[in-house]
Amino acid sequence: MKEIRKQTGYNFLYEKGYLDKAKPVSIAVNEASLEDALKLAFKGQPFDYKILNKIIYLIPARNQTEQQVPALQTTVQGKVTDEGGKPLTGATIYVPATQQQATSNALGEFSIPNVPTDAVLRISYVGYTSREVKASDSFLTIALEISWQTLDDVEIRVAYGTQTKESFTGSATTVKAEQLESRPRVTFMESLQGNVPGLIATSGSGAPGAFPNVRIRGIGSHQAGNTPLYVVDGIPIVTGNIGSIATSSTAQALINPNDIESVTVLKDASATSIYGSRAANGVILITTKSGQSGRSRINASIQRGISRIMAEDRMRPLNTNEMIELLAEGVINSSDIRIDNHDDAVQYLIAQGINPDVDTDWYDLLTRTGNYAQYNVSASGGNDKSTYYTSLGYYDEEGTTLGNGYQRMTGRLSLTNQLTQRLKLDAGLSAGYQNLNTPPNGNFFVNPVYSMYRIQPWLRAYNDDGTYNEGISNTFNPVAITNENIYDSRFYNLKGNIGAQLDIWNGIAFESRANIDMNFADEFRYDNPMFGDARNDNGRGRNYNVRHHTWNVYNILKYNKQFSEIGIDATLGQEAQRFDRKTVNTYARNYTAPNKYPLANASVPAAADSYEYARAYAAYFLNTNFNYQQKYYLSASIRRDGVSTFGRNNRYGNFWSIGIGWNIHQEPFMQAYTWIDQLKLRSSYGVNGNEAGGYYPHLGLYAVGQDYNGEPGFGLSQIENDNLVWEKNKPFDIGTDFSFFNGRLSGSFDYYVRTTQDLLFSVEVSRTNGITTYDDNIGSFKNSGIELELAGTIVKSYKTGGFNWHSALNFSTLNNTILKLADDMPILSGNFRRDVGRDYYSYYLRGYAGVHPQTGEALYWTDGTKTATTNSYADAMPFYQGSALPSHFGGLTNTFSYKGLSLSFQLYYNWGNKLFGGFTNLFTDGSAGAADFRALPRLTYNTRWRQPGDDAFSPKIVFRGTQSGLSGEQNSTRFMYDGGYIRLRDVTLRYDLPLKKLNLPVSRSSVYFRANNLWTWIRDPYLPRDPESFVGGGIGTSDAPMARQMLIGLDIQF
Amino acid sequence: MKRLFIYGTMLVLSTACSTSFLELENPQGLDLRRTIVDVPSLKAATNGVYDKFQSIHYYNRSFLLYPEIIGDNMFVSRRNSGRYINYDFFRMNAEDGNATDTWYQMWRLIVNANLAIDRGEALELNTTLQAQANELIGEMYAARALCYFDMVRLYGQPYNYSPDASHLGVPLLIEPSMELVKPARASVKAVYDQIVADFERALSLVNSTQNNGRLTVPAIQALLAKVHLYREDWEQAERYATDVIDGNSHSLLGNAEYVASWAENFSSESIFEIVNSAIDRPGTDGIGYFVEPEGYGDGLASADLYNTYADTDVRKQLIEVGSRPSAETPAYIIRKYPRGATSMDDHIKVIRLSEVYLIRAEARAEIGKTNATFYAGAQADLNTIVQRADPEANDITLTGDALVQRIILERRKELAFEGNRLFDTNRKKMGIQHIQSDRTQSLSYPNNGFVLPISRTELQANPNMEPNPGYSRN
Repeated sequence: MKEIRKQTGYNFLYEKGYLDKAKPVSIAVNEASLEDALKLAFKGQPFDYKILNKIIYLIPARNQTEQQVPALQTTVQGKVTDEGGKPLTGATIYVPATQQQATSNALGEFSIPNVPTDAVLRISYVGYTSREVKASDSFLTIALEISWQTLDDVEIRVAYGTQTKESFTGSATTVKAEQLESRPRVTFMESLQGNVPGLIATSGSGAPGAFPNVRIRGIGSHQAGNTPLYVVDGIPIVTGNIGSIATSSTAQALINPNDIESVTVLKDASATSIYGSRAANGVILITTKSGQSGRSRINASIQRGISRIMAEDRMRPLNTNEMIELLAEGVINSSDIRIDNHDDAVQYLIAQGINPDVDTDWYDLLTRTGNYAQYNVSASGGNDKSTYYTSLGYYDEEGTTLGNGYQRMTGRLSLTNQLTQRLKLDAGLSAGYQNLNTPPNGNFFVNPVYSMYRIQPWLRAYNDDGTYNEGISNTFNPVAITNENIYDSRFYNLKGNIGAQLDIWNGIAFESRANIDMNFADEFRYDNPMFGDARNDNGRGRNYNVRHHTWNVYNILKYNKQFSEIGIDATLGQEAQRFDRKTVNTYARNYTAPNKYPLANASVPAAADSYEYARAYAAYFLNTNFNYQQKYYLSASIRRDGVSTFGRNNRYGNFWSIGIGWNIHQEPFMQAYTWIDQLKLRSSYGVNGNEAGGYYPHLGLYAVGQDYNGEPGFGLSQIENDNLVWEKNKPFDIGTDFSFFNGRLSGSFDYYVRTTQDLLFSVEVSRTNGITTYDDNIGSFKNSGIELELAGTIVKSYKTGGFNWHSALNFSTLNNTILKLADDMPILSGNFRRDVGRDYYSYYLRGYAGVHPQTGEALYWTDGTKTATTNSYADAMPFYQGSALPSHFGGLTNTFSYKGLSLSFQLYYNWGNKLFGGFTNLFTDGSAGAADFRALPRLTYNTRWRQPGDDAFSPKIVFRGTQSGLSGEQNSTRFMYDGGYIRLRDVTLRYDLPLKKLNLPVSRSSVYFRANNLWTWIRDPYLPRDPESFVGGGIGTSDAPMARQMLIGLDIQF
Repeated sequence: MKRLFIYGTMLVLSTACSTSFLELENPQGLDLRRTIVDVPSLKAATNGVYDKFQSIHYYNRSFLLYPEIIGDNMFVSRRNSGRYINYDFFRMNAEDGNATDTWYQMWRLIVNANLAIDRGEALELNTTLQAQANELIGEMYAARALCYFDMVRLYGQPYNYSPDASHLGVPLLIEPSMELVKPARASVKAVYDQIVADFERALSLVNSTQNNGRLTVPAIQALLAKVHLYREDWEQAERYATDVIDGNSHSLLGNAEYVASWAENFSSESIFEIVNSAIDRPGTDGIGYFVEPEGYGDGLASADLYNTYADTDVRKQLIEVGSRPSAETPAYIIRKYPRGATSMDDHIKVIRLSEVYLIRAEARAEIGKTNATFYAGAQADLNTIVQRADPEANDITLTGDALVQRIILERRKELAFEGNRLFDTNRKKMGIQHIQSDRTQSLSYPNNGFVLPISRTELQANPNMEPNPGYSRN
């Protein structure tokens, strides 16, 4: 059928389960007409076909077998309608017992005489679910429900093509357009969260346009990267950050989710190994929409909405009264200051510069209600030779923190043309533009998020005359800086691709595909001359340009043939890719006039440099699938991959996989279990790779730019390593796919073990080497887990527009273990310690033992035995404190529909991880006194020790005291939180407009309310902000907080 | 035909993917083995070494601040940007980022100097070029020696801490390695021996006396005098100091020029200074920005130091009595890095002629304890510096320990904020008044906190590295 579709452009349409009954056929027709080919193919099949508008409908075959006619008979009369009561003309009414058959007339009515009174009628109509009803004397009204299933439901996107789900031995999950479209999210990646078992896609930043990090089946690498390979319409694309200022941006955001037909997440060896060296972290295949012949459609959607910061009650900084209350207590508690009453303490604080009459709500000044708008329009269609799809999209979001904004425009055109009966061409072109405004995270003082928690509330943002107050931390007034500085990032993308498919002869086909992917980043940063960093320079301007240019070519030869018992499907191919990156940075200072930004307005050219990088890949591969009676499947692949990032000795790597599948439901002994539609067992194992990060990690290098006194200089940057090799990832998977009760319940279950060997590590080396790290292949990891996916129709109405309840659930566990490290030496990395037998993200911290009830001092466990405490941080030993990786997570999506109204929502949960940080570990207990950039956290206020006998969580405040630490240096479990949460993510309440009644020239239209992150239950009462964070990350101190979005939208289809 | 064309394309593409397609060079990297091939490339390698002196973790900020903040000259304002607070509170630990960064920058300098010396000495050159190469190689020996001297002072107890200086110094690496190394710490004596040998080697190779931000003959002599002072080899210290003074390549500034000279580059008494150009400057990360009120203004002078200057002492003008809004009033503002918040490119004066006078004064005073004829010279040298700054100051006629103590005081006054104070008190086995904005603690010598920690990352990566006592390995 695939072949027929490919050759003719005709689509198949059939009822669920039909193909299961099909007998395998193989027909070799040359230059035959479609009719002839179909006649041949359908010979002896339990169904027939009918062609209408270039769609081939499969319909039940007329049964020729003779049978006895029972005695009692009646004339059955009735009417066949759709869900809305509209008559269906041409529906088939069939009586199996007697092989009588009738067709409904223009009014949908039928009449069959001489039907046995106990007979059952089967009413079928293409595109609708068949129904069986008992024969009756009374007039029957039979409503049929739309139940279309196109080939996509039985086919799955795989590397370099598609495959039937029956024959697929791998583990993959497909997310459909409906789950991606019209979401208040810039990328499709966030929409994968909760929809794909084994996949985590979390954001650490709520800034619009910020990218989530996506992890499939755990953490397989330390340094080579844990990002999956993204493949758009067959071509690997540039992923991740492409900018210099907006480092949270992502190139994937330039794919408008509304242009995506489906996203397929490939997880195991069988599915991914054909991508060889780049498949270690899984592969995400993105298929964009294309036109369909015969149906011209215009779709338009409009959305407007707002957003608010999540968990605001936890995030509110302290006001002046609260701060003074704390600090006055601190003054009294201080042994250096001899003050014992509140009033004197307040006077002391006033002498230190505190103004109790000012109460600035920095949170209020630096946050806002965000705005969101999205508009999309697309048109598609075609004729028997050509199809087209074209779209335009506009996305605009103003973030919830001051200075954050995002705009995107995308356009896309995709064309296909059947040149000759054997040759098909396709071409696509997409252009995109992103504009981000993102205050930098790195420099805390100019970051509004950091500032709102750090600046004391008794400092004014504005003077009485309305001008900005300059007297904050050397003029680092965050409102002034955020308003007067510019962080403008513009990213441009152009993608073009062309492909050709040629049917050569007898199941042999050739496909060739090439693309270019160009990204250009044009970013400008302006530091104003009045406030902050650049005031002594009289303003600074910096221009950063980054150009990414990638081309990719592949050529594949395919052979697909089903002999009587054995089928073979083989792909032999070659692929090459080159990636180039160039950065240009310019910097000038001393501006002539305000509001004149190009660097020409600045008098001192301060810096100019450019860098160039390149990476190249070359690969050869063979992928084969065999089947026996389409019951037993064996697939095997091998790929030889070369990449420029490795040294001469190890430039090429070989990767392979083997997979088996058994369609148990095809076995004769299973035929008795009619409630089983599908039951498949599959397993796979293989080796794929992960290349080293960076561009030239194997070379021994001096880096340039280490100049002195205006003369060029260089210095050691890298020690050579010709023996650096690929990281090897060896995934094993065993799983089952099932479908029961005519598809009412379906799902899959997988168990996987994924080991990584020759881990690429940037090993911290003794600084006496003049370098900090050295890339080496050491160590081994293991990730294992189970994944369960269930989908069911819990309530199904047979009445038109009745109540339906569909539910989909997925659940994943994740267990990461380090198996081996170099010399089995643990690796310390921030608050994590990597050790054999431990999880990669194991926290290694001193254990906080609470507060001494009498003295109010912070106590620490002396060691992991937790038998003794000490009030001296230095005397406590750190020990393992749990992991930053969740142990299990999952999603539950429910959809209810009744008449034109539908409600769907997704619950996502995340469990078992720990989070560290936030603002609470900074200047927590009064050590900074009244310094202006040292506000205290609300958690301290709420939980501090106040008087002897208090059973408090946070120690006493001591003005400029040091017992509980200075500037966040005394990290302990005191600042570690439980990361568990349950979140209501995607809520949509939709109403399909009754267009017929309104008499509009529109074929479909709906209005909806949609909300993202509508509600969250946070397990840890002390957690100072929303728990969503980057995988393995802590709680950011300068990332924009996560936001809740609410919108209303209108979709129209003409 | 079409098929043929496609097969042809495929063939072409396949052959295009040969090894050369995958063999890429780094356009901004230079091959470690084949880059130093002539005098210009050797010069560029030496520039890369001087570049490390410019690090903000070394001479452009941290290295100058540690001895002053731990010592009694400087403290961090109550209103601060969060920098060097551990030092201000005298609560350093092995996780300390500054101590880690300074350690790393110093090692970068040594490793690159080792590479430059090794490759430079392997060059085969004609006589003219060899002389140029020798000059550069000599500078590298001197740079390495200075760096080891700074490192051993910062991370090791003073030379006289143990009777034979056998206590923990720093690892001694004097050859480049193409393999990773995990060296153990050498004794302080071994490190000083190497420093002396390197400086002496440098003197045999360098001929330049031009004051241009590079290590010259007088710079090497002056630093060697300082090293010998730390080794308490008074005769050698006296000898090299005399070589500098008699060499007449530099002269003391007059009283009237003194204050303004801090805004200038290459003053007549500046023997070796680190160049910061308008482009290659520390900017807001420099020491100037740290102390200038128009910058962070975090680093303030102590009243204790301010009060050591007589009103007639011109050096008192380098500390301005002002106030720090919402914090200290009065605030003693340091004005020794006056371009810190404007052009942000103050050169860093590593050694000045006035220090050489004080070195000779101290060496002579110490020799005087056994040979009293040296006292006159010691007093003369001291008075030169004292009366240059304060023409109304009386002649100092002290002898013995009193004279030495007076010289140490003068060093404090003359060299304040230049990164000497703690090192001076350490080698004189003196305790220190640790001054903060609102409190003072008396710290006695010896003290584990008078040397910086070997960082935890280093200890983890190198099991042969011993931690400094008082800082835990874990």
